[in-house]
Amino acid sequence: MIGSLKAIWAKVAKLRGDLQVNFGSYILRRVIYALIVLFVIITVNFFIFRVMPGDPVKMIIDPKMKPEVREALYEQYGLKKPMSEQYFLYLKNLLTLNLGLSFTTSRPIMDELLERLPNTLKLLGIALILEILIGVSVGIFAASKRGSAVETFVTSAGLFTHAVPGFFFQLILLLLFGFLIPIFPIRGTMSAPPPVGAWAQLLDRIHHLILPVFSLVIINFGYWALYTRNAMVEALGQDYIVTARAKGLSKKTVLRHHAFRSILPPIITIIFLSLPGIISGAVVTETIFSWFGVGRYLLDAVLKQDYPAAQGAFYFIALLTIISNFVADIVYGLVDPRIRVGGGEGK
Amino acid sequence: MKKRGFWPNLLKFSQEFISKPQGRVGLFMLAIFLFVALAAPIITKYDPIDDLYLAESMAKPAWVRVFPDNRNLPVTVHAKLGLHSWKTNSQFNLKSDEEIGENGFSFEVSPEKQTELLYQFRFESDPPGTFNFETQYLVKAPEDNTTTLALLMISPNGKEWPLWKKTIYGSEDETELLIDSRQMNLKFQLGLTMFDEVSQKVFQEKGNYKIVLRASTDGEPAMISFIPVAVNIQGKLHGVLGADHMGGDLWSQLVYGTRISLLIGIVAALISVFIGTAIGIASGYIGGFVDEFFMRLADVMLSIPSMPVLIILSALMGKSIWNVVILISLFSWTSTARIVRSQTLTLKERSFVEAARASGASKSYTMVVHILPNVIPLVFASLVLLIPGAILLEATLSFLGLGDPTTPTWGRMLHNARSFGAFTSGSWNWILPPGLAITFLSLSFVFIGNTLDDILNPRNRERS
Amino acid sequence: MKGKNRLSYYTVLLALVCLIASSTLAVSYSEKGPKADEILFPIYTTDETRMFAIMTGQVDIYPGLTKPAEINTLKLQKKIEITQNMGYHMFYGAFNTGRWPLSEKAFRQAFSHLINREKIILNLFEGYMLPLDSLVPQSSNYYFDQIKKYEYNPKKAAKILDDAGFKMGSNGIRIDPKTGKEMAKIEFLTPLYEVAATSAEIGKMLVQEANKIGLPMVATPLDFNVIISKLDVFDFDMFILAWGLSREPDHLYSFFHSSMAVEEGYNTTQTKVPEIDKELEALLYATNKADFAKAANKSQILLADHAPYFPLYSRPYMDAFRKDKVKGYVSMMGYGAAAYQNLWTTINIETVNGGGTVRWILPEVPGTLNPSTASSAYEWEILGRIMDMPFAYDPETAADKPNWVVKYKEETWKYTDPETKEVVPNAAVVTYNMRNDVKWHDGVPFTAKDVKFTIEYLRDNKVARYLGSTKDVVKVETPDDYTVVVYSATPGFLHLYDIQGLPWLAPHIWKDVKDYKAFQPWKEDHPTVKGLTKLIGIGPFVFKEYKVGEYVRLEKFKDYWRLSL
Repeated sequence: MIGSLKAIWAKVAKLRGDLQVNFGSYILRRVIYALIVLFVIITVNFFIFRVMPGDPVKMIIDPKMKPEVREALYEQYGLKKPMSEQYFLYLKNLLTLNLGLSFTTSRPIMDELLERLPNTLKLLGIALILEILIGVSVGIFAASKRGSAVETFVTSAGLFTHAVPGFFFQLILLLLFGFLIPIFPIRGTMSAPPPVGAWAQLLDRIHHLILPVFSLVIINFGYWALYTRNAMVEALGQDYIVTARAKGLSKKTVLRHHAFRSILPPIITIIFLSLPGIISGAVVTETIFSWFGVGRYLLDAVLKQDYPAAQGAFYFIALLTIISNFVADIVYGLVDPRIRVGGGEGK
Repeated sequence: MKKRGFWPNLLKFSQEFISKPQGRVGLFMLAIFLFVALAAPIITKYDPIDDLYLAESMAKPAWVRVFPDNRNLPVTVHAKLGLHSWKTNSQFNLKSDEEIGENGFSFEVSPEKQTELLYQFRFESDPPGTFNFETQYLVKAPEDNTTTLALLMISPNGKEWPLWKKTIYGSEDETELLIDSRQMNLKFQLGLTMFDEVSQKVFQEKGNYKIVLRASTDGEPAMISFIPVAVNIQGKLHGVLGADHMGGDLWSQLVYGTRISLLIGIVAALISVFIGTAIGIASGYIGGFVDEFFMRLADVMLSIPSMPVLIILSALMGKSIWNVVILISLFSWTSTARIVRSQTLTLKERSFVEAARASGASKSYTMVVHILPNVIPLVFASLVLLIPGAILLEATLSFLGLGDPTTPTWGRMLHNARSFGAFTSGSWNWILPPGLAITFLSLSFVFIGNTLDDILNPRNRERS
Repeated sequence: MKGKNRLSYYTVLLALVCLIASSTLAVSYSEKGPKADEILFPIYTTDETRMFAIMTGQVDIYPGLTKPAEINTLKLQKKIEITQNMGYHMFYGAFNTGRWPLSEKAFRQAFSHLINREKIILNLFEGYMLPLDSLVPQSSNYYFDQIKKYEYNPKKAAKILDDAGFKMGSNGIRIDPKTGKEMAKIEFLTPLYEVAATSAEIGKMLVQEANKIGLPMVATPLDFNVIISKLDVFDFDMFILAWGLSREPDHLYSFFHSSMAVEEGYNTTQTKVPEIDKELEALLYATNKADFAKAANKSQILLADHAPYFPLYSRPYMDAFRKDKVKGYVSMMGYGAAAYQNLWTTINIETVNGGGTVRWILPEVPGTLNPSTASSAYEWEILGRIMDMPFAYDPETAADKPNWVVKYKEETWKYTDPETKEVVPNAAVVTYNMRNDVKWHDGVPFTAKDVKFTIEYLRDNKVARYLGSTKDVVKVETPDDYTVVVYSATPGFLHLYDIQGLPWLAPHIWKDVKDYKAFQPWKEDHPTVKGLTKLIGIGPFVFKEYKVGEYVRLEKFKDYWRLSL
């Protein structure tokens, strides 16, 4: 979204400010910040499910359970204790990743989520890498050839990202290439059963990845292309680049060594910062392509009114986001030239 | 010093706007959508939610008849067979009877002769998917009479289809009668299986069909009354865009969906821009702790994945579109807040603001009177750019089954299309219109927003 | 005679039920099997992929069709056959008879006349449901026709209300005879639209009918869990729900006996009528089929008049098969052709060329394959073929079939306590004879000790799912390796079937399992046999693998006892 792009820019600017202090205290600040976010999320999670209409206890404890089982669960969650004590118990449970048991399967929610995590990471990871590779290269190319067809293409791809409903595009792809011209699998991460042999299995998995990944790339690469193009155009207009050009360096060298290097840190940051949005997209993609992942787990839990599972899945996703944000901050600190050179102090 | 705002001359502004192709196209598309939204009751006569069974489920658009394959597809026939519609073999005793209901009629059956009411009509199309008869009847006869009522259809080739038969001992109070070609007991009576379609058998050929009401009795004469018999032959062609799984009008759903999408998009964007502007000005102008707090809050909001939260909250809060609007706004104020904040920081140092402060104006007065007007142009572009996001989010939530089922949104249309087999049966007339409508409406706002951003954003102006 | 009038319609329906049962039974079946070499259950969780899969031939079986649009699309496909069977299924609404004015019988009877079943079924299900007029579905052999019926007739409903003193007031709302004021709002609880759209819609339709004759009723769609928790404490006026039932209508006892009218009990309507209690006790403790049937009929007559429930419809089970790819599917009364309870399809299904791999859609991801905790029908789709379903009923008549692994031989209704030498009356002692050629999947013979272990394990661990069958068991004796004698504290011919509903647990696997809930047998390797897991049974198929979220694979059990029949 164009709006959030600006917000991210603002954040990058703010990070630059933070960096000028020194790397050690910078890291410390980021850790504290991550912990605050974690705390907010746990607290919100705790209250949402208790403030909502209906008996909160019934939302956490499956009413179909036998009374003795119910008593045991009351104990486990401390639901007969005062609110404050419940809260601390909840805090402790979540921090130790004890997310409780699912209503529908009676299995530990954490186990179920971990089972699905690799699939989600695979799908989103591959899609993200391709999106960025394609998006950034196309963006740089467009910046170097201003006013060309490539630039129009980048702009249109950006528009596509912002205007086409992803779920609609994906359903149409599924209909076209899964049913009308059935050349791609319509469900899951592998054939049932997968073919024999390591290579055949790898190919089978790739075959299953193509439709969901391709759809994600088409939907999202315009975002990266547009961002890169704008950043490059801005960088190319800056004094030192102009100077470098004036010194007689070739356009290619300037692009590669100066302009691109200057936009690298914000691009890396924005990759990590875009993770919450990308994880959000997983819900829809995983649902449409029957992908056994974390996003669909959340939606299924909500539709089945399995509240502990929904709560657990949400916490899990939030945790992923916090971690990726934190990593983004650290990576940013590492790649920023001012930090590396100065060993702590700003330029 | 004179106030220096960013309010450009309105005329110059509109000229500049129109001079940009994106702006022109965006405005044009938006105008079409606005017209459709405002003129919805004129463009379509059906209610998107309540008008059902207008045609066969998943009927095609009426205009596909231009293709030879579809030329003979049946259209919907609704008729009410009252007093004057019927021919009878004992004309003299058929008379009006308002006692049973409006336009009711009654006739006497004597034991000597069975009475037959007959209605003939031409049917020139392929067989319909379903048809039904609906009426009420009443029998007045002595206690020991046995009266038999029957309804049948006669094909052009003379074959009789006994659709209903009932034996009545003595009198019977007003009773509802519903005969539907999908009823399992009807299929059974006709010797068909559960998956056979009665209508395919009955309407096998084109020509004159007869509907016959037959009555006979023994003992004393009996009086039989009916309200007009409603005959519905559901068509396989309907309206501009055809029908959904319940025979609802897809065109009216699309048209009213425009209203909802526009409303959701604009209201959500307005609320979030309002929140964002207030927070942005406050943190920019007041600074200090307030600034730190709100900016950290914005950071936190930015690092929470919005879709999972929306899914959970919409499940917990219930399915009203207003809940969706509020939730969307709560998640999209951050970008506006940041833009407004940085603009406020610049404005704060400007001489006219400093002058106001020096002359003793209160903080809130300065913020509202001096800062606000100067950030509005900026906010305006971000407002327009937030709308498509809100429209897409709402559509996605509805599509996932978390929307309000009683509000005709485009997301709901697509959700229903997916749930009720439109993708498998290839009902492009159900799938494509809402998807394309979402795309083009969002696109129009992106175009307008980009153009506004180009014209109004000081950063862009400085660059150019 | 009015009664005679109305009868005809339902007689037609009943005949139709028989027709459905017989017309689709063209396929003869064999008791010898299994025939397929392998069953694959690929998991398809979305509607459109299930349809794509069966239409493009990626799967052979799509069980449990419910959506009219899907049925209408599939029935036109030349390569697909849809089987139809009446189900032991009941969709109904209920009154809280402990609350005024729902405690008034006339009120309940009047409301029962407001239900236009035909219209509901046509509008919401395009005709693919059967109207239901008793609290036992027509598919059951115990369905009884000669009961009070409530045809749709709003005028009659209004008249009954008038006669009972609920006169129409000036605002179009009826007057409560107790208070002399307008009636208070009556709340009708329905499931949420997004969970069960049709149920919510039915609630709306019924409320509209009620409002038309001056009853101030409102439909309140609620979260299923919230409905259940309200029912648990009788905090409701009216609600609608569905139940999957079984061959014997013992659900009547659970739903309407006064002893069940406690908080969190099954008798949510608070029906406490001594006359009904008497018949229901006769039903539960009947020691032969004739008495049982008599009590079932009488209960239905009394309940129809008392009207604590209003039955709405019963669902026929429809399953789609690719007839160009598989053969040997058998329709079965009450459960359908593809349900796990249908042993005949399980052992007869095979590819058209014989043997081979049969692909069977699994519409949800099974959360657990532990037979002691698995509760969803989808989990049992798999477990039912591994554990050997004991429902060896005749698919057409639902009568018992002679070949059972554990078959009851004789029963008495009292026994002598060996220690006190006292005769214990009103008990059940059932002796079972076992086949001696049955083996576990790992080759260990299946004996009386295994049966004893299973009953005692499930009883002692209070495994909730089987508590109904095990809680009354006093002791289990094994006079020899193939004879089991089970002593129960209560009499009743239903006890003969108790043992048949249990999943046999192999003692050599389960004896060390302390926490049955945490046990994940499908994830642990078998201690001695390679290629097996701890999920073993005596059924026709052996569990091979479960790729979580993707598919489940079962293989033919080469030593299955029915193969040597």
